[in-house]
Amino acid sequence: MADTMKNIPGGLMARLVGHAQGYALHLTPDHVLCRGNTGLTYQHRRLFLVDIEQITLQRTRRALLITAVLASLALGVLVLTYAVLALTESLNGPGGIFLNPVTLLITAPLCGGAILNVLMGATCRTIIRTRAHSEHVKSLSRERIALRALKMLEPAIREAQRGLAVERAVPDTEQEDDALPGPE
Amino acid sequence: MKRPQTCPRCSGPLRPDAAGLKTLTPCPACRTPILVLDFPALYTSPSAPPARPVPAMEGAATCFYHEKHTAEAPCCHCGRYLCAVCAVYLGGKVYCTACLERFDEQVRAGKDQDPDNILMGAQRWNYTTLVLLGVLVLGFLALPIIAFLIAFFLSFSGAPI
Ligand SMILES: [Zn+2]
Ligand SMILES: [Zn+2]
Ligand SMILES: [Zn+2]
Repeated sequence: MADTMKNIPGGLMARLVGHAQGYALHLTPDHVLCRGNTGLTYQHRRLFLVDIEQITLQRTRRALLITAVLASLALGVLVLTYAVLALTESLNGPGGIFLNPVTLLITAPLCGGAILNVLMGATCRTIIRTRAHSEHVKSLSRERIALRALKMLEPAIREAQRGLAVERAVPDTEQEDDALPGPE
Repeated sequence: MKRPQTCPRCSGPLRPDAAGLKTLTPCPACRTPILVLDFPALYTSPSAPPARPVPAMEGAATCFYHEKHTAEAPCCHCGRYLCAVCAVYLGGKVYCTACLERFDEQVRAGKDQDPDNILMGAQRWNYTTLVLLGVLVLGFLALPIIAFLIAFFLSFSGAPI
């Protein structure tokens, strides 16, 4: 069975460090397997292709927020360095503000993170709905990756539901129903 | 039959052509870029006509629960014959309600953790996250204690604090 299970894009964390920390989707011939860390719980859920009613993508401001936080943190460290250097009257010391080893060590990763975040593009919230359940797909939180995943999911779901559209077209004239007892 | 599409964020109505879009487009109401993909399952409403049982002929196999109904399919789990009323089709397989109830109980009770036995899905505590959180909390709690110990021993060594 394992060879018929395909990884759906997204969920780098799950691929790198495993599903205890990450979250990822897998596509099998008849269902989508949602597997991994959802905060404090570990989840393993199957969404059958024939049951999926809707997938929605909704852009979020998370990318903007992350960039803003990282940039302001970097700026804050620079300001702090300036203040410390000014107080200790060593502004003209080796390296100055920007090449100060401590500052560089802190600001470089922050700036790197901000740039990486910008490169990864807009963030979004992806939700897969069935009649009974709405799955917030954490691994599809970047638009580019989510759209790529949809390219894989959509044909599979349409293929699985091909019969449904036909069934629906049949008019249901015979509606009278004698209350049937269910199983005890 | 088709219900109008609504925005996942503000629940406002979407453009009539929203279903055919392939990229995120702003919602007419809240301007949030969205993409809504509908599948046929959305329109097979729960009010679809219930399956009608076929009255059993003499000598024909009958439903385990209804002896007057012809059996349509066996439950893939317990093997009992089921009529059109009792058969529950799920993910391309047939189950009886008794088995579904049992699966549900097992999943709820957290007994059944084997992925291949879990029918609908399951959730359990993520121990790795819990342990990491625990270490973090303990670390924070220990910080003042360590600081205090260092200060305590430094005061003995006579070094100025
Ligand atoms: Zn909206
Ligand atoms: Zn059964
Ligand atoms: Zn029956």
